[in-house]
Amino acid sequence: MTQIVLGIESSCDETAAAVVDSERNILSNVVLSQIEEHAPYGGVVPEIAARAHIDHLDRLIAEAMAEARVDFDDLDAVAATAGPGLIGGVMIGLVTAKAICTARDKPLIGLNHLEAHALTARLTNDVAFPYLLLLVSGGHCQLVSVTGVNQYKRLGTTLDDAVGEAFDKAAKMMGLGYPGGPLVEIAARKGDASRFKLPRPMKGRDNCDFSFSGLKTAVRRALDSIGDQANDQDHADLCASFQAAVGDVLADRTKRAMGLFEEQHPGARRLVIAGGVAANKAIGERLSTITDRSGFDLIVPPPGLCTDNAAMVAWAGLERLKLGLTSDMTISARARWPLDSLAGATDKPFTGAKA
Amino acid sequence: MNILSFDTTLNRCSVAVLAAGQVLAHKFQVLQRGHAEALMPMISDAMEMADLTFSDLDLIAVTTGPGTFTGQRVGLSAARGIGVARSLPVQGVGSLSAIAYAARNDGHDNLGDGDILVVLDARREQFYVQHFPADMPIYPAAYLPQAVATNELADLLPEKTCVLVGTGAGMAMEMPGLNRPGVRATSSPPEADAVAVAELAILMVDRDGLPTVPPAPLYLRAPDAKLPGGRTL
Repeated sequence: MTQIVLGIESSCDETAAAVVDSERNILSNVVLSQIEEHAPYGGVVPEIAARAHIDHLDRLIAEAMAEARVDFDDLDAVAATAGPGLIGGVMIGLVTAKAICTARDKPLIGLNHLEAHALTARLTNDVAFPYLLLLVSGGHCQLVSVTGVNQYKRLGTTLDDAVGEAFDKAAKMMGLGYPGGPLVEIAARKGDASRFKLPRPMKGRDNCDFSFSGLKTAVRRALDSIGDQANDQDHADLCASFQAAVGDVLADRTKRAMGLFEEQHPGARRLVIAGGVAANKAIGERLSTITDRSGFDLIVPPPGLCTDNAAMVAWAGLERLKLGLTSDMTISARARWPLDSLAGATDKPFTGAKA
Repeated sequence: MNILSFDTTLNRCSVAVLAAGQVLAHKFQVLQRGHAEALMPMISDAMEMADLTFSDLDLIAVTTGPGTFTGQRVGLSAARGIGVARSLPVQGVGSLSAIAYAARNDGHDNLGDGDILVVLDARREQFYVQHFPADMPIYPAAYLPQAVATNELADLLPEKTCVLVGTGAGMAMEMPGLNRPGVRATSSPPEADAVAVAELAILMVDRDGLPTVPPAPLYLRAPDAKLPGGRTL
């Protein structure tokens, strides 16, 4: 029987609600971005984000339900991001979901935001398990072996900045504006990627980890070398050089993970890219060069489902609901929540790895 | 009118269910953190105790603040979540008004002809303050709540006798200019409670009708955020 889930997302600077059914129909998908509120600060301010979420979330839920032509009684569950993310925002979405479930006697599913990204390709492309996931966003950069719902093994992660964070910081240094990722991509189209010799941090290392802080420093030095007179072409060249360096690093690290993944899952040649940076076409093209060569299928959900949204939350909720993995009303919002801890593993503290 | 009310703005978590002005259920606990986890089970328990279902409710009432930002948003998320799920109106009630209402009505203390000055400890050397003159109703309030520097509280003190109530009342009595005849701290509860929230909501609805838009938090403080170069907006 078809099941229907309402999804709620509020872990960063997007307030979102969506209704999705188990036949992979996205019945509604409402996203309100807070970009304008945070733009003057050049980054997401947690308290400003929390204030915006509480002001709009209930109205967006009503909109999503109306657009889907679904009544609360028709829902089989409500799913909300329970972490990782900015705790103030996560708490608003999670408490709202708890309230709806309590008022309508529905099961609650408190979700790991990364799991929602990880399972999006099954909503959009019906991808079978297992697959290799490259999760690249403003808060995360990791390679994960996905063998089933609730079964994730992290193969590598960033030791410092997330890849989207590196894009935003590079854009900020060049004064391009916020959020930086899309602006760097646009500027890079008119740039010469060979002009600046930037490093490829971690390339060739005997693991699948990432590091972007050195690249950030190199962008700063390149800017200094141009001096005060940097023009649009200089910025375009630097953006292109930066983006090419990021692409090379992601390709190198992913290629290594593909080797490991294929050893464990022979024949399962599937690479899924998810997260906001997956919306970057140049990065997608760079990664397609390695998947083409090694016979991997490359699956990238459409851009609107790569950036934060609630349809992915609703879908992941449906996947968990099918397995009876629901949450208690006392579930807590979590700022940090590594994906592979879902399957029982826990992070060792102070290893330098980010969730 | 059947009302579900709750408060999570400070170091308590309280829930009440009222029908025709009578308290059918009342639950509370002292809680410095964990409101987001404790609230829903308390609401379910209170509804069960009152033998009401959510479809029996006519109104949700909740404190809007001031208080802790997280606490305010937990209460409002819950209230607005129930509101949207059940198409119920949500009445916001000021936390300082709820404290003053209880002080005036619950009989803990004979306030005499004293004005009420609700004083919350807002940290960072500030109080959240609201003045309720003895001859004026709690709602509509004569004065708005405001944030003041702790050492400037005396400027807000009414001329005549005045009773201080709230989490900052004891601390306030130590401040310059407060220790004078006619000014005293009360033994009334220093924090808002869901019963007073519901009773105030009834007064508000009687006067203004049912609310048509959901309430927003009352912060009294801008977010901590610095623009590039350390400026603030």
